[in-house]
Amino acid sequence: MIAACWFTGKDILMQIPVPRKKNLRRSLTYAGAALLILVVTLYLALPVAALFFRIPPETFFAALGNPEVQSALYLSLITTTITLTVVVIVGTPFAYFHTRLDYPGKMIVETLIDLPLVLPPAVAGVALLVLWGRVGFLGRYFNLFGISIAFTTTAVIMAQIFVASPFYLRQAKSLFEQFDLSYEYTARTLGASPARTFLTVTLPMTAGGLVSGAVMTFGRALGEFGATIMFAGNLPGVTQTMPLAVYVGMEGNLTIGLTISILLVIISFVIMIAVRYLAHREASHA
Amino acid sequence: MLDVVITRTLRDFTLDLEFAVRAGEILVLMGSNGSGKSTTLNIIAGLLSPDAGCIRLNGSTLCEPARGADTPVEDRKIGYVFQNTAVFPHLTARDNIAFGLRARRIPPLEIRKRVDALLGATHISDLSLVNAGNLSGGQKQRVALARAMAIQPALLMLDEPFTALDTESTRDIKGLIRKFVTEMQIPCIIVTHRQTDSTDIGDRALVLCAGKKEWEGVPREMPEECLVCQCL
Repeated sequence: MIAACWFTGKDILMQIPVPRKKNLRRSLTYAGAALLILVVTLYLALPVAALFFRIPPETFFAALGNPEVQSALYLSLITTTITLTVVVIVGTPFAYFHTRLDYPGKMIVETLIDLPLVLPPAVAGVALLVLWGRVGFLGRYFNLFGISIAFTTTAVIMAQIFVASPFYLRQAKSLFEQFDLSYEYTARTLGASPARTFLTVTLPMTAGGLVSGAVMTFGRALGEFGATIMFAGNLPGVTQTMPLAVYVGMEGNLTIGLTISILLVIISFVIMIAVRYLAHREASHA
Repeated sequence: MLDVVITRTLRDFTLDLEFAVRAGEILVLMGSNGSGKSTTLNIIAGLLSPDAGCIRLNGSTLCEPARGADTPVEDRKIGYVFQNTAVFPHLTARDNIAFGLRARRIPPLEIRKRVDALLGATHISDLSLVNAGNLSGGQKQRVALARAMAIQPALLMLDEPFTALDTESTRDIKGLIRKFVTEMQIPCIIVTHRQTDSTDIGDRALVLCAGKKEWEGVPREMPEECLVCQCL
């Protein structure tokens, strides 16, 4: 056993006899830990790996040219990009005001922000339909002017916003709550207006965390299924996003289902790597 | 000239204070942790409101709740250096110092001139393009001080400015503050724990205890019982 001598600071070699029983217990603990890590890792990795081995690469690349795949990919990317833009533009100032201001019913709003995280997506879809459907509480009035929301691409975006926005809002809220106010106070005493302070101090100093929240939101919106199928339906080219196309593919053309699944896995990997990189950068800056 | 008469109910006691600081004078505010020193600075800066009283700077009222007068923080022209320096880590030292000047829409040429002069005066010219997040505690303190001075404030307030500094830097910064306050003829308030700081730089000291004035006078004449009392 190597240990540092307490007064010289030099490494010295010490032979401390370790009891046999203790040694055996330690080895068993390590073996148990290794087995646990292996089982959990395989449980998570094997299904994902199996996807890649199910179809040969040439079939995968050929299927990428399929109009159904391209249409679902295009629709998913367009809708998730719009969703993300709306969530960031509306969600950032909302989270800031919510954090900085005390207002009646703040706790209720706080709970409502988190609600979509625990609400089954299908229920979220039904709720949206009951509100915005052709005979819904609000939808019926829009219908009078010939505006139909349910079962359109707009409905896809609304479902994604409902389900995915908490990921961004929670992150933004937590960042603004933890932000050291002395930075904002300093900017104000130096002559900056509240808006300028937010844009030039608070926002840049929380940007890493906000981007990481945005990436998670993008990922959740991309994988949205339950609320979308309930509120927007499954119309190819209009509301059939990638997860919905996987569902249809698995019932008919398996290659299409698998190809889109692999695409989603790749995108999810890229998202997770981006989030980890941003979190690491944030931690090293702090 | 700064005139302060303030009352504010805090969690543990009521801050009830009256004092004045003349132009070119440095008042050292002393007291134990939680005695109301930083709260006093925050009220003067406009970051907190007093329950009652009046704050006047060079004849104009900054705050007087009874009359509904309350000048916004950004219009008070107060250079305030926080205890943690609050140097913006995403900006360079130069951009930190220029921050207040840009917010006040000073012409770029004038900004460059003032920033260069302050970088030189605080001995951080070679660090001007370094991101402030990468500076040492002492260097950050210099940037924060230069940034507060850049706006040519009507009042300078520093909360524990010497804690992160070594002996040489402390002497240097004290000299710089004294020179600035004398040249600009502005009142200055420095919050500190250390009695040596008060005798080194303070023209007058005010000892706070649980929100009340315990003693006020020339730092060298601070009575022994005040030095050993619970307030310091």
